[in-house]
Amino acid sequence: MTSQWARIINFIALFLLLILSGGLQTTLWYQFFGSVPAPLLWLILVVYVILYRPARAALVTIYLMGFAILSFSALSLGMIFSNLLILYILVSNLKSRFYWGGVGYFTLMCLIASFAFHIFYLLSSYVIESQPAELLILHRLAQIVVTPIFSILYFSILKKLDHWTITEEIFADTGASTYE
Amino acid sequence: MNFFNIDLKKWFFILLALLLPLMTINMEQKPLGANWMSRPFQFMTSLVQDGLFEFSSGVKETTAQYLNLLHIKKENENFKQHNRELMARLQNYQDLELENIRLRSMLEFKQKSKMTLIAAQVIGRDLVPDHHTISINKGTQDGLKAGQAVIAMNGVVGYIFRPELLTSHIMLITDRYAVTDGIIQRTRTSGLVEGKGTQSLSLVMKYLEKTDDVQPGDLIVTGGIDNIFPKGFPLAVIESVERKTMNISLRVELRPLMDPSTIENVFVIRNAASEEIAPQAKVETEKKAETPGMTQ
Repeated sequence: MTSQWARIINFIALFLLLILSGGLQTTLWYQFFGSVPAPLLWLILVVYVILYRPARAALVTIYLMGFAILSFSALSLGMIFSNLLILYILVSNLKSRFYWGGVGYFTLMCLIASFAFHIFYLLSSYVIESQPAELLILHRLAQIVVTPIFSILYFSILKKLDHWTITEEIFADTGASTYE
Repeated sequence: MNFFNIDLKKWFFILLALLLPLMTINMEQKPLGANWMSRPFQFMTSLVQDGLFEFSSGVKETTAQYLNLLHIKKENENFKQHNRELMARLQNYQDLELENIRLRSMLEFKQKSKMTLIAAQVIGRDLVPDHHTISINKGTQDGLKAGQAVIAMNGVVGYIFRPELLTSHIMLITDRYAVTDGIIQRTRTSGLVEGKGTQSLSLVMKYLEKTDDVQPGDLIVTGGIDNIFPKGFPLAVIESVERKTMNISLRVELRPLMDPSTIENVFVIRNAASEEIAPQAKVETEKKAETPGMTQ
């Protein structure tokens, strides 16, 4: 398989996983757990893309992921894109400062990203929207706690996905030293 | 030609990355429907959500059957267990009875109504907690379109803002993006009902003059001007009225008749843009809302 095809297959698989994650978060979780705060499964995928893809490819991918996220919510495109950009800047900057491989690092980054997402989401909502978002502190805190737990499972799935689509070599460790 | 030795490619990419969010923030947002860019994703979303709902229903049924089987085995082994099982069954029967009453009244409501209603089940919620939207298990293949009203037996629920093939997304009237025209039933004074997106007291009525006769407890019904909701359908009850001397209009807080967190079944109105709800039907609707076990 050529590297070009491997990238395309990996990209499609990632998108299918994103849509499946959105469905799990909005439908399956609601069916079984009702109004219990659901983990931000889509955010785990966004963090993975920022951490383990080259900088430019990651930015393009997460912007495209924004469209898929939009189909599960009443969020505006501007809110999604601005929050994704902020997340991208934050996570890639943290990656350039400290980086080590493995599930522990990924879980830590998911925890930071989910915390930062809620902060920036509220701030951007107050700046952009005429009717800003409600604080919902307990709900958001629960999501911040639950999301990293699910990131452990997602890390192994995503690593396997990269392995199956032979992209581990292509998207080699994009740690601090190789960061564009 | 690059006199200043600038990496044009890099700067072009950075500029593009920053421009995209700024452009989308300033873009005019379509209140209904979706743009062409997100349609493929919405189609996929619809398939996944419907599939997952079917899957979860299957799992629930199988689990329930399996649990029942276990209970029957234990019944034979232990008399006490048998007794507990009967008690559990009795509870189930009571739940079923309540569900039966609820479904029967929904059927009666549908039959009595002059409007063409499509019954639908709530299958999902919004991706973010501060948006009050729900997904239902009916889509464009059932004849649903953007802008159709969604009601429950005791009041207005919202409207379809993004229909997909198998599912539809409903914007609840309590969402902060939602606006509905409303009339105070007693005085016929009209205003705009806006969602606040908060958990309690999640509606506010705007553009009422300070001289208007507005009292807590007044029923707000739909105005019918927006061509989404039929005129005269119960919307909310006035909770508080604030008369500030500096303001030219009143600030009126409302309590919606439906509870967004407990809603399970809804009706989509297919053809009642200009139809007015008969006063008798309205009274019946309010009575049904007060019946025990009738929370949507």
